[in-house]
Amino acid sequence: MSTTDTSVDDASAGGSNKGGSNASDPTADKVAGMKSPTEQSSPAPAKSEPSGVMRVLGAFTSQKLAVVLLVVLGLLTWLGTLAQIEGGLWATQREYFESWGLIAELPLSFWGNEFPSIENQWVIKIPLPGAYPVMILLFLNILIGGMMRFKRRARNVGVLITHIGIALLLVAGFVKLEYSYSGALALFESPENGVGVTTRAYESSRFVSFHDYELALLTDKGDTIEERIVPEYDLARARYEMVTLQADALPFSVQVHHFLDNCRPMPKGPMSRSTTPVIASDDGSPAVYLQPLKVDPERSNNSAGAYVRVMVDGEKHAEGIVYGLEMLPRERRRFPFTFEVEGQRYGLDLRKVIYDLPFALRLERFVKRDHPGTMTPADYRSFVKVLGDGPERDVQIYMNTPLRKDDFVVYQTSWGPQINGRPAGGPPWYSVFEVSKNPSDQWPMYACFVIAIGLLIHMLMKLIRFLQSSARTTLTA
Amino acid sequence: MKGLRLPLLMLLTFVMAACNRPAPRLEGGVSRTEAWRQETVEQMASVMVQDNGREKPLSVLAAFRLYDIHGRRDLKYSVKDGSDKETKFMLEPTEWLLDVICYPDQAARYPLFRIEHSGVLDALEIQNDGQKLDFVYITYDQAYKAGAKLDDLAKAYFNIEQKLRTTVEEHILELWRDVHAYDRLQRQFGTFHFSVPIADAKLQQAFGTERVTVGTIASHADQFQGLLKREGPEMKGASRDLLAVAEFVAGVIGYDADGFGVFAPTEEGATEWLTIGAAFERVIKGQRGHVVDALTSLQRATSADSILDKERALLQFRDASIAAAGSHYNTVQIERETYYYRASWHYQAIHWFLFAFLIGVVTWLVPRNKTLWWASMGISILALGMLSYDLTLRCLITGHPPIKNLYDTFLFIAAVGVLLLLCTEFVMPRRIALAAAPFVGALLIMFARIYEVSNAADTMDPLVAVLDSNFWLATHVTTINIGYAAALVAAILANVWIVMRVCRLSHPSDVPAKALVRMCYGVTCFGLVFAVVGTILGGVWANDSWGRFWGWDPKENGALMICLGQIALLHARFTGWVRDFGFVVWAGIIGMVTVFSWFHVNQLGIGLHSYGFSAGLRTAVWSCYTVQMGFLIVGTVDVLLRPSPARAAASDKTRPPIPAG
Amino acid sequence: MKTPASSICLLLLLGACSDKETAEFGPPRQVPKEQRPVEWRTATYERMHVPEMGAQRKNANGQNPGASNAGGAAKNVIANTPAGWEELPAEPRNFKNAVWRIKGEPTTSCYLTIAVGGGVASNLQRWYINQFGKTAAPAVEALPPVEFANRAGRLVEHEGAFSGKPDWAAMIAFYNDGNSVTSLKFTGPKGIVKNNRKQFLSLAKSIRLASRSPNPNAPAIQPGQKMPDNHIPVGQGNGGQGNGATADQPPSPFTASAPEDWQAKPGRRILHHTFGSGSEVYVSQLGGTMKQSLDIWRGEMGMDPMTDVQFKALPKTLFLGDDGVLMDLSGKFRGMTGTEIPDARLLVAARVDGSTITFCKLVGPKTEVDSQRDAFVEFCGSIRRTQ
Repeated sequence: MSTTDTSVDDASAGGSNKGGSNASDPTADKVAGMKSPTEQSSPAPAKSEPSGVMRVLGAFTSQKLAVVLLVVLGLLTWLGTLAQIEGGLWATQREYFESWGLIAELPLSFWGNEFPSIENQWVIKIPLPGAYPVMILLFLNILIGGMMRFKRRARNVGVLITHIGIALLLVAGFVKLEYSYSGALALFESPENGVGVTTRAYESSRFVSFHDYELALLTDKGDTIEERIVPEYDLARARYEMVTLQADALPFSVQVHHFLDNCRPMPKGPMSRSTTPVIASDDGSPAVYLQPLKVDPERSNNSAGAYVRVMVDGEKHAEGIVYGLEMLPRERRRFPFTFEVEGQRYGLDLRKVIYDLPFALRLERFVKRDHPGTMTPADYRSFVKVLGDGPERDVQIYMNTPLRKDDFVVYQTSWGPQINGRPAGGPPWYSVFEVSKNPSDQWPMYACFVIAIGLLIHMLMKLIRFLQSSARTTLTA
Repeated sequence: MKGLRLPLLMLLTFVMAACNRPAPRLEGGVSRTEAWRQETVEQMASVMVQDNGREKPLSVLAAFRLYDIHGRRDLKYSVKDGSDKETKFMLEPTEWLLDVICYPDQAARYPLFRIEHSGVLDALEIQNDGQKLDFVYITYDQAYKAGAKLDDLAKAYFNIEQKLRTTVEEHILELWRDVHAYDRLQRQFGTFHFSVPIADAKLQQAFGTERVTVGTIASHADQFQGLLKREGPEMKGASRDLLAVAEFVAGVIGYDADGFGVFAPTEEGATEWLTIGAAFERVIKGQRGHVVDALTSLQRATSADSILDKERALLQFRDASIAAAGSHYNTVQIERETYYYRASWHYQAIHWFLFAFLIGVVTWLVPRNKTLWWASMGISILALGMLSYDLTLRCLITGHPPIKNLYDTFLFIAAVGVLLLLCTEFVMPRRIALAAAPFVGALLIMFARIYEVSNAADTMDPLVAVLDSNFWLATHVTTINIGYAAALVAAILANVWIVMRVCRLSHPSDVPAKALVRMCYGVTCFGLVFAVVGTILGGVWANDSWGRFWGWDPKENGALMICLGQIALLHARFTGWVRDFGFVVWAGIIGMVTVFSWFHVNQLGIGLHSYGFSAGLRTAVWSCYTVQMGFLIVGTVDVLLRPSPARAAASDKTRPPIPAG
Repeated sequence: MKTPASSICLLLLLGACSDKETAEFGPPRQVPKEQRPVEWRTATYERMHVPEMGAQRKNANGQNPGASNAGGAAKNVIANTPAGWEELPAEPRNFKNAVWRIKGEPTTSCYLTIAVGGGVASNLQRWYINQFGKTAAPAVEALPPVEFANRAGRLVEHEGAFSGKPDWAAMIAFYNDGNSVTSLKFTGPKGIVKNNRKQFLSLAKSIRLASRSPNPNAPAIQPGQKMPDNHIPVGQGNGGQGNGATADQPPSPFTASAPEDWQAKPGRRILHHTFGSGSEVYVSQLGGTMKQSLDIWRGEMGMDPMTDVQFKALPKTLFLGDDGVLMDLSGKFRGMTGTEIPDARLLVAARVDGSTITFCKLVGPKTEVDSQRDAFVEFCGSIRRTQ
């Protein structure tokens, strides 16, 4: 690539010259004239060879790279939107937007009909980098080319501000992707007389991930429980082989196998056959096995399960099944697979990742109002008591109005019991919140202000300059 | 499917071809011999009802029901009298609804359900003469006779995945829905056409008649209660007639259970209006007052023989229902809404826009004439004023900012597009934007009207909870739609450039073409500000309502693609990668992306924004793509085949060749 | 463009993740007991949320399976226990979701097993070879059909030595959904089983599984609902108000399991169903005496009031869990509201219910009703009061 750091200067010059309105502006012609040979010469080496560092820097700062990246990102966005029709949001997001690379598929259609036929649709396969590396490169491009090496002139101030805003936006996205987590918190309405169903969750200071699992080793220590966590990521191999888990202080190791992404426990019937091991029990229950189920693309609909074997001194000590069904808010308790080693009671629990909150929420009341005579909700909101260090606080959480507290944000997302959007079986109602911890929560808003200001300054300056320029007179004559 | 006509209509937009298809003939006797008096229709239009969660004038309900069932704004039929003379009739929605209420037998014989495929008629075993016409209308009577068959077929087809259904299957399902909708509508007032004969003298005396109707029972509710009380709760000794009346009463109460609300609730704080059956139940249980008058006058309106008596009774019903509604009857709102639809300012604006467009075209022929320029500009501004007034009225009626649903976006984008082009014309008076502005305005309003009928859902219905936020509707939704408008305007200017080049109206190096690219550039810059800010604002809203700033939702992606496209275009222009032709092509592609984002993503059936679904839109979207692709392909071919004259004609030798984008 | 391209490749390589065969537990962390409500001692089946055997979480709504049954095991089998039989507590852990026996015959046993896996073939093998010592099991298609739990099932009948007991007999009705087999098995001494063959078949026919009851989640408007009709359904309006919203209807005082080809009709009528081109069924209540009520329906068919002899001769039918009368009329139907069906058939099941007469009425074109008479009788038999 022959374009080097000069391109920055050219670009800013071009930009400041109203984007090369070459009818009247000789500089623009010059810029364009300089550029034209580069169009068909990407493999050809540049005549004057700059240093390696400068070359790399030049590549990163090039506006042409920016154009390429923007176009690739646009393509990815388009294909990623179409891919959602078949693949669902979750999988598509992983494949297109959070991966390093992929083979994108474009199913051909014409007038909304598959082409040439439904059974035999033509699919174009396009290898593309994922949105993740593209955005990293874009960020570097903006940082170096659009901000650091950018000509600092008065007329460029708008562009500079805009670039800062976009960079902030990209950083916010990166922080969100890498450092934020979120999950669900579901609570039943507290009973008025204070006597509730013991298993129901009325108050909680923890929330659970929507779809990520963890295997927790629980040690019963009387008043406290000692937890050791293994993330789902470390259990990935247990899908097709044995994974051994250990810790220095433990007198045993745990083998995990037959990890199933979606399954249900089945009693072993007289004649039923299973492809997975059957575990007999000594408590009078029938023998049970995990029946694999089709994995739902909507990942939160799946319930994972796995087989665990506790090994002491290389011998099998206990064997059981862990099943990750989450039943909040009806059932707040967890039912781990339990065993004893050396007189100490342990439990193994496959569960949706649990996050603790620095405060607790109690649902006092949930109210849903429909537009009269219809099933369209006009409003639904939760009246919540926030219990924390300070005094109790009553808040309402409803659509477009989340609760922000201690870096956590609590949103109203759903309610129940309902079937297909209709109330079923209640009251009492339960309310489902999404809780998220996102350090960059409000950054996009700031970025929005910055970008808006930057663009306005730049575009207004350009407009004014144009209105005053000779170009206008030429063009309107 | 009504939507299939969309592309056709789009192509014929400016061909004022009146459709001279003969109106289908009304077979059988005519019960209503005279037309409804205009005054009655106007009065009845402002009866207040509650439908889809909103109180609205009866005329609005009638209109959207007719669009839904009939697929047109009016109903046409002809009648052959004794002397073999055909007389044509055209009914407005309210007149049609009055017929459904007062002359159900005649209304059941109106050519109502549009059949676009003779296969549907074959499947329903309705006699037809094959594929001679591209569509026919069948009556409710015909549909009713084929009801069992239709029901069976619809049930079977309903279970087929939508993608796999054939056209006929889709049409049959559509017909089933329409027939069902009509059935529900006519049930609403159907009970007034029933009566129970009574032979028991005691009962005859109590009711003062030999046949009891809803009206007689309502007006004799006390006597009826007395009779029931006398028999005691077990009614052991009740006469057969009394039991029959009791049965009838019970039947009436539930008959229109899934209909719209006609009577305002009387309880404190209640918001849900009552159907006729429910109101009748209240009367039986002891409620008195205007509701009784309303019921009895409706009874008279349906059972009276002469149309004059019916009209008198209808007006009495109107007064009684307004009196019964009390404070629920919001005179200002109802009058404002009836005025809105009667005046139909956006429809008026179409004519003025077309007029301005014609003058604008004339200015191309007489470039130096300032008067014509001002005439076109003035008329455009006038029409824009009408459109803005229309939008303002909508805001006042709904209490929300201008855009709440897909229909609103048409009108809003039309207004913004016109404004943008007129401003461009002021900045660069080249008379291109002058003519383009009213053209765009008229086109988009026409699309809005086609969409209104084909979608057939009241465009002012209340919003779901998440959208019910005036702050975000006013900020995010408005900005992003301004962005859409600008991107579309840029695409249209780009197409004008291509047409001018292909037709040799202007050489690319000529001033007009240069000015056009310049306008396109300016509009793109303007659009970029709003697209970017609007998109990010959308993220900020999503962050407050769904808990994430960005979720790769199709609608979000669509907006992002517009931003990316525009940013990439501007940078590509800075670097010199694209010049005039490249810019124009790119802007055209962004126009397609805008159409994708504006309403195609809603058709994908996925994501959080798919609340604007309409089968007819799919065709419209693909028409847009095809037309735009046509422009781009023709332009490209032209550039490839005839680059030389461009160079030869270039007066400035230093100008580099036109890059092919 | 070389440099960015190669850096992308590099990043791609770095991004490739590695799986592990062994892993470490994370560092220990003390959590207060209240924060982690844990049940340490629970039976496996409870721990796994398999509350009742068989009542598998087959969940039509696509919701989290736990949500549907975590509230506990609701009774999900409805059946009419034949006269002379008695129902015993279910033993779900032994795959007996409902258990009956003949009164006073402890050796007999009849139990229902819902949806156990294994497939039809292996179950047949078990019934034929393992339990009755036969040499081979027949193909499913060779077995006689039987109506079982509102499904087309098959019937197995055996006589001989059963698990060592001579002169024993067994009747098994079953159907399968893929690999899962639902069966009703009746065993006992040969003579008793033979004498109770009819009762067994009626029991098999009457069984309804909760998951198959009319789907309350059906969309509001769905083809198959009764379409155009000009008929006012006569019946008792049980209060309520509102337009359109089916959700805020008062809960129906009765439940029943309707045949699959009947469409539940939303609205105010109780158990209102329609089928065919214009037949409808609903339950209602009336004042007056039984005879008066029935005479009203006779009037609709253009018939004179019954004589006492006729009235007393009306056949009995199971209705609302007890004996009711069944009136069956054919002729020209002319409803009080003017609806006419030229060749109609009208069926009414009625019984005195406290101070009122509760009845279930079916009217429609004769050809349609003819084929649905048995379904109607069965429907009436399944009607229960909701509490």
